[in-house]
Amino acid sequence: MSEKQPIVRLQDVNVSYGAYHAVKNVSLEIARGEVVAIVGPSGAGKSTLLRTINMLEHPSAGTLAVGDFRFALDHELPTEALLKLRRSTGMVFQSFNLFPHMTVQRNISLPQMRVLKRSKAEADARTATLLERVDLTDKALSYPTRLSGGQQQRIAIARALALDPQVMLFDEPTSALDPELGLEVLSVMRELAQDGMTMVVVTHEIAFAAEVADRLIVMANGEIIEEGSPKDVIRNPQSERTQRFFRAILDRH
Amino acid sequence: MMELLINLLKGVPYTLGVTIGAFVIGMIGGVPLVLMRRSNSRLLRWPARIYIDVIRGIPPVVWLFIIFFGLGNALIKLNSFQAATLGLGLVSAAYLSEIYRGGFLALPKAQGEAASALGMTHTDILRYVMAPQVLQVSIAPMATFFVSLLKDSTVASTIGVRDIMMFGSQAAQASGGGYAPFVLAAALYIILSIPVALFSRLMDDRLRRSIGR
Repeated sequence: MSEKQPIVRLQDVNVSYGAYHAVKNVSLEIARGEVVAIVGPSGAGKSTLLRTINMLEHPSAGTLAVGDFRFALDHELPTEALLKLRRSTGMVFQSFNLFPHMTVQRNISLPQMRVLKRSKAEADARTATLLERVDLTDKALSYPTRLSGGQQQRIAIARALALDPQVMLFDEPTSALDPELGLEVLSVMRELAQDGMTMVVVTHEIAFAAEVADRLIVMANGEIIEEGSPKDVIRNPQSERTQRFFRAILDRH
Repeated sequence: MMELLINLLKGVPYTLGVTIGAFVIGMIGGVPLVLMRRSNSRLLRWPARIYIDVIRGIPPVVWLFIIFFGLGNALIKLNSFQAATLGLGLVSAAYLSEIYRGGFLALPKAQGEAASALGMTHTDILRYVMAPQVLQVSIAPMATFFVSLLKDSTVASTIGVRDIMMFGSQAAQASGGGYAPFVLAAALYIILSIPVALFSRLMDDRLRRSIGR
């Protein structure tokens, strides 16, 4: 992995909410085409870390580089830089967050038209391709609330992909879904990974992480406590905290 | 009776004119007000707050007198109809901006977040993501407000607008203090408000079905 050029680089990133230190001095490099899964107990700072990559959280210190953009995080970013950063990252949320007043097609086409200035025809053509890819062509004219959670999440993935992001961020994409619907979302994500998309996935799906991720990161208390290939980390965790975390997961299954 | 009815009907255009005119002024004026009220800048937020609180604290009759006898005489020439429409319009802007604000508050924070994550600009998020949803949830309370504005428009008669109330009062005086003209006026106001109330209920049902939350 080391010969590949990093596409995301976080250095000494700190995020605090008042007195609460959510992410402590985290540094992380993600290579182009790499799939990184972040796991850990709740409150570990996983989502917060993920959300600093597209600046939905505002870190108090550190630097962030995505693609060719490099930002110091100790002061507020100019709007232009912030928009560029967000255009180069795609994000999928736990709660899907589709726009309920727009059809599926418009949910995916409108951001392309507004953000990338594609014409309506261009955008709709891209939307059609993506809908086919997530196997929801027949839902183009439905409203999101008419769809199952799994379908909504696949649409949300298509919406993010439509903007040709350099990296896709997934924030517990299956946590709000029952296991069966979760599977259809995971299978879309698996295909994405196979196609070479750079992905950072915060998840509780250890089996998925083990199968798809190139690297597994374990966080606790705002810090990365362990990282490595999923096999090594899961089979042979080094720290006592990581062992405890995996034991708790295994006990549940 | 027929004669009385025809007499009162002459007031309908004025009643509707003041109500609709004021509502339109309020609907438009409420937009910059709510945007200012929600702004991060104190310089914008405070004037909007002060305007909203002051306007809502003044009884509409007093306010109309100020507009008509004060502003209407001194600065710009306003006839009583214009003064009533403008005066109630300025009041409506304050109330409608608060209705819009409620709509913004009802919007899940995640909606704005999702749009930001897509790289949409602040203006685009407002225009394409927030405004349509805010409007959708605001329509029913706006219709309710319209009905109360229709009734409150009777204060226009105090500065001489020839609305339903004005014709009612005149008829009552002419007939030596009977209450029949007022009963008839009441019936007219009810009839005018029924379509709006029905519309409000319809929109509310539609909203419940389409957004499902």
